[in-house]
Amino acid sequence: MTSTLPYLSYMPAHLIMGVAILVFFLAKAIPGLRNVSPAGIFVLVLIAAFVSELMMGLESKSLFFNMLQVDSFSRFYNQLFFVIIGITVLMMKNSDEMNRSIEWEVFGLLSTICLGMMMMTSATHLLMIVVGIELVSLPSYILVALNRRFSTSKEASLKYVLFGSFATGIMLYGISLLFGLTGTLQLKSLWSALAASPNFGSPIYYIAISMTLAGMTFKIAAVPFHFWCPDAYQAAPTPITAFLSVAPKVAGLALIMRFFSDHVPVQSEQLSTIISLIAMITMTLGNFAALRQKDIKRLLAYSSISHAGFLLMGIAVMNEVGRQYVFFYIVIYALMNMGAFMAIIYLSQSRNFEIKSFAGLIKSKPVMVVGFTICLFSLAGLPPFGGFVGKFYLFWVVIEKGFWALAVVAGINSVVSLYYYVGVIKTMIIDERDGDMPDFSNQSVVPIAFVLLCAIPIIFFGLYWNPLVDLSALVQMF
Amino acid sequence: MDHILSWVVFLPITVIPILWLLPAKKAKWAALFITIVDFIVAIPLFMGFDKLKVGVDDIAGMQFKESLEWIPSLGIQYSLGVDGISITMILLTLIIGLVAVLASWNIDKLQRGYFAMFLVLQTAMLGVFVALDLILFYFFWEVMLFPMYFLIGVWGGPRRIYAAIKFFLYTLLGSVGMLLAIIAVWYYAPGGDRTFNIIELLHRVQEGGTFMGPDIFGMPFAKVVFVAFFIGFAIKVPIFPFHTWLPDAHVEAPTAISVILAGVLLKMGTYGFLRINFPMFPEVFVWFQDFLVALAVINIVYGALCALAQTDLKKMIAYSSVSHMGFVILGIAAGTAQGINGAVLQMFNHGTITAMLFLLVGVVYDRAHHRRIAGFGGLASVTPVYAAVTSIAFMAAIGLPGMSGFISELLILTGSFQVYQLPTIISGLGIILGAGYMLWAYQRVFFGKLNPDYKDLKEINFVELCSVVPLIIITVYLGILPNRIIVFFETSLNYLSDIL
Repeated sequence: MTSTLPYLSYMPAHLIMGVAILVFFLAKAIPGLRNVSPAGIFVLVLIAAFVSELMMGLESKSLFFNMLQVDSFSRFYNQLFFVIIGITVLMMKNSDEMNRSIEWEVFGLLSTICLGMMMMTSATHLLMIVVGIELVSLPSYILVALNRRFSTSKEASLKYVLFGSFATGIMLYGISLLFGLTGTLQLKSLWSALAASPNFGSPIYYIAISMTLAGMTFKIAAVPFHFWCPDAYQAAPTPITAFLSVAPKVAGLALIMRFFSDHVPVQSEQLSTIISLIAMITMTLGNFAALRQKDIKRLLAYSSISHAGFLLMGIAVMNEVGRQYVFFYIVIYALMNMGAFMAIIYLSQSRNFEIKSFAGLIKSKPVMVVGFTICLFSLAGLPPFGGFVGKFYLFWVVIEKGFWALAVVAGINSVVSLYYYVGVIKTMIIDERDGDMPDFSNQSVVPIAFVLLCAIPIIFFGLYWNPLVDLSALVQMF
Repeated sequence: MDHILSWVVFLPITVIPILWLLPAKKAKWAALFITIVDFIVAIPLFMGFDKLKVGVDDIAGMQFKESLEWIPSLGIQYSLGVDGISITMILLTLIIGLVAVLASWNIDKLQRGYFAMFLVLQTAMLGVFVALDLILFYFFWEVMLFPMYFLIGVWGGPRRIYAAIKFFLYTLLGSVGMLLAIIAVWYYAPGGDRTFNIIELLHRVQEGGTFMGPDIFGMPFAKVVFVAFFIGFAIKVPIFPFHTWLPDAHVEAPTAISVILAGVLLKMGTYGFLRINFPMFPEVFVWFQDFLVALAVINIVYGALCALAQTDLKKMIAYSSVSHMGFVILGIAAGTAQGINGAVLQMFNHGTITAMLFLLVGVVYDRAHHRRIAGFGGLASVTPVYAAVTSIAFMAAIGLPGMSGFISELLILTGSFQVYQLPTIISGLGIILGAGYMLWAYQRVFFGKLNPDYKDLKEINFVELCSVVPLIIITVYLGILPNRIIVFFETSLNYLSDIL
């Protein structure tokens, strides 16, 4: 029997994160650690993980008997996770919704999620996929319930648990069917075995694939596994909402891309049809539900559902170019969504997230409102903002394949989405405020600087996106 | 001077940071300064323009060209240039921009924001008319939307929020279809080499290339793409049945923005037809021609009938725009040299004349705070200068001989009569109705018994006169010597009518 230990040298970031989990959960028992700032340690861990992934270069390697695959695809997504988590820590510092006494545990949970997401981007074996998804899901349930004093938090968390376990159950059943059809759980051999099996194209074939997909669509909150999303997002503390709306979603998308990457050409049309259908339904439902929202966090929850639909467009084409432009859009999506949530943390007062409460804020906080407006216009996909370029490329790959229906549905959806984003902008800029302006005097300037730091690259990438295209071209699976 | 087009396009936005350094009340001076400078910078464009070069689908014939790599991976270029059609529109945009700054003189709310948005809009409009790359064109086209949304939404009338979002959604719906069409055109460019360059694409089409795309939803590729472009541009014109945003936007927008809307924005639609849509699909255009003529006639007659029924002055002028833009469509749809020349002349003339009308309505609205036609009466006796100026503008709008509107409508009707007799005759009805609603409105506002509420109405002031008089001069000048402007575009357009 060969030793698998040397494989660990290919995944230094996983090791660092694993150690971090231990440290955070045991911190309160370790004497002397009590007086250290947990956020400081966590940021150091993230930087160390980021650098170690960067040092590994673009090398590709299959590890642990084809259980995991590390390549530039997994490394770039992992680096993105570290950045997003770092931003989340920054948000926690600037939010009044976080309970400082449980910081160690929260960072422990975040490290666990991070490790799970890193598994998800690398998994090439169905069991690893399940492990990765569960490693992300279980801590997420707890994070949603951090506001223990509010009954809505408990309700949302329980909803999340129920949907999560339901989705995992369906997924495991689907995996067992796939195993029964092919006798393998490895993605490399799975697809060719499926294509060769006598059941190719029969109902059981579609059922097995769709059921396996269920666990992954649950993570990206695609229809029909999206019901947990608005409640969980609304109930969770805002920094956690921001985190959940980006990182696990990205991990889920990366996993779906990995899952389908080894399909054989004869299957591509069927699989494209499945993903296109999910994409169309997801974006339409997310958008139309967002139209009616009065709570900004719920609105962004539905908007993130519809964005998952848009991102699935890039997956539906089932090729390398599509995957690269998904990465392209994800980077911009992370920028604009994190910027928007930071603005919400700053502008909302005493847990009041009604859109109405933002009325007329342009007068007291013009810079923040302008930054937020740029993020929202970018989410709506208007030029000259980065969101437009992201959508442009998704349309572009879809039209190359000739998926006209998908392109038209997505086009109509981006018009619909404009309405609710502009609704928020209208409230902040056009509407008059009755009553006093909220008092922002004791808030730090960090969030304003942060939102501007999101807005500037959004405009930059909207006008000149070559650097990001070049970066996306490096994101490859082997 | 090198890069003169870039200077002309981007000068307006360069002063935006300066607006925040000045006191809010001085922002308008900065805006006025930069629009005047922009005009002066653009003078070499008009002086040095070679009127004998064709342009359209000939890259060598495009003048003041600039080209830079922008996104090499897709072959997107920052590519600018002008031919006869664009240079006319540049002139119009610069004139209207200047007039609109003067019309914004009384804005007293958030001046800096207002002029910042205004200048972004000005840059975007100029950009649309000089862009030779489809993606660049689309960028300028879309960048126009959000300043427009704020200009209507923040500084508009009572129903401004509704009007602003309606405008925004309508235009975006059209432009998303256009974006898909642009991508489709890129993929299936004739000759294999994919390009976003408009002139290059037109050139290949002219050499006999066709777009060899697959059927879309069971329809031929070229027809679907043509219609997608058409709807995108038609919403801007606006062509019936996509016109409903226009009256709302016009009525709610502040005066200066109505001026820009009617003066420049509507022309972008017809400019798009001539620059991209029709020459790129000449065969589909022939298939579409009859339908287009029908739409034009509907625009003319329906717009005029609606104008006749309005009780609000601004709304009446808005519908008269619908009617007058119908003539532009008719001229283009006829496809004859006279028709198309007349259409572009009408684009210019309608821009100046309607701008004048909106300015004049703005004058009375500033004083009376309403625009109901029936609410006035006998104003000629209190404000004789205003009444006189308005009468000139109304005559111009009716198309009185000696005014510029007459020439362009005459050209269009002669041009279309050669191919479409009956529709032309029906369109003549539009002119009669036009005289009807204009004169009737004039009579109700200025003659008759003086409404006692307005016996102290202030006369038109100096700034307002400064904005209107140049337009009157242009209108009369081009009414007598229309050739002064026709020479700019006739070479290009005669060629265009040949290839359609």
